[in-house]
Amino acid sequence: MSRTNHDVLNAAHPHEWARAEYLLPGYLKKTLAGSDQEWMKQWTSQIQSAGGQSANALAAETAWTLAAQDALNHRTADFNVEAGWQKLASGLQQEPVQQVKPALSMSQSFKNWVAKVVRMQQDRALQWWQKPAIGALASAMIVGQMGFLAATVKQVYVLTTDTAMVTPSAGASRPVDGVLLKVIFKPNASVKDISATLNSVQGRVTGGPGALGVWEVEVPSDKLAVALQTLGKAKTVESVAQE
Amino acid sequence: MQIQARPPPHDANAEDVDLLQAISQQDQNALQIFYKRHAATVYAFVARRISAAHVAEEVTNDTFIQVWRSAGKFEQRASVKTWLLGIAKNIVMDALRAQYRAAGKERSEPDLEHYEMADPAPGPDEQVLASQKGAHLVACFDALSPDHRECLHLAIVEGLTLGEIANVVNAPSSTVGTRIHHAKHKLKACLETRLGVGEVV
Repeated sequence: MSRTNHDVLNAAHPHEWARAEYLLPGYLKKTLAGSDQEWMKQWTSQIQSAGGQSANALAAETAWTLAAQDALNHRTADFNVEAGWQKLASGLQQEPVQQVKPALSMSQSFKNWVAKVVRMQQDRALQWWQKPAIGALASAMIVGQMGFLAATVKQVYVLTTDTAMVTPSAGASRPVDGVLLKVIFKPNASVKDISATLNSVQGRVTGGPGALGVWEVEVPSDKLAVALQTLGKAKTVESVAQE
Repeated sequence: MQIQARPPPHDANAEDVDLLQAISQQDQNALQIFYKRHAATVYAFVARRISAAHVAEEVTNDTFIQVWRSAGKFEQRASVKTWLLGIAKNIVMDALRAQYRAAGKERSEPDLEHYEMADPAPGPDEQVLASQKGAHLVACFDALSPDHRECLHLAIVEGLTLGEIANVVNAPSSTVGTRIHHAKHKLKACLETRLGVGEVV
């Protein structure tokens, strides 16, 4: 019975092969973390340099893995991504919109509470101890509320920076009367920057990218001129044109 | 022969993390970009277990709906791809469980690991593929048990490590390693039977 690649490598390098056997596919696809990728690079180079049966077995195992990766990828190619997205996008309309509680709602409730206390004071005669108690409580609430407002201001600032990528097109605020643009983004533009660029013009991706890397972006028709100007100057955009 | 890794692109995981952050803020553009990056990967993974195309598409769709709902819960304890495939795995198991119930079968959870939702007839793609190079490998792969197929797919097609696969399929790394080893052995033996040669595709 002939020896397999595994038999050869396991006999000659049992410790290393126990690790390399499972890292080889990821190494070939370059999906490994840096340390694993580097270890595999060194180990495969070492085996190849030494030559002999191990080198042949590793080369054969590599060829087998590459062939398997190519053959087993066929189902990935079967999937129609564009049609799938259209279905998902329509399904998202059924999803409840997550509401962020308005930052000033507590302020409003505080005002309501003060008004209620004032009304209480006006509506009924107070015991001797109630006036200072209510005053102290109100003072404590005011101090607390100022602290809350300070924290809120900080939170609003953080949210402003963090939600730069929040699309105005999500949910109900999606532009209804839109104009379609053809946009090509620069190859080195990050997805975060692209998303921020789109949001700055209230843009919504409706298609693409095509074979030439052209995305179809919908912007509100009443902001077309501004959108063209903004996208034309954006660092992330290679070119933009109205369809 | 110099063994070279295939060309690497960029720090895809960091970009995915950015996208998830945006998705957690209900950024539909970000979801669309994320979907176009990963939908085919998710579908291919799901299809290893559920070969009925329309059901696999539904499960893929549900996976991204779940991403939309829970992007904010991603904690970066694993890569985005591992996290995403873990979600897909759970939804696959839900779909299998539902089919069990529909079929009136009473089975315990571990049995689901060995269960699959088969397509009653090969589709046109499979028929075309049957005439192509690598068809034998695909046929042998499809003949593997579902759990072997799942682990081998994640290892070979997705290039995940043992630990990452263990996270996705919710099994110990040692179990995953055993599955991959045996799956490869069976796959090669099947090819040898079909082609008359060993370890050659």
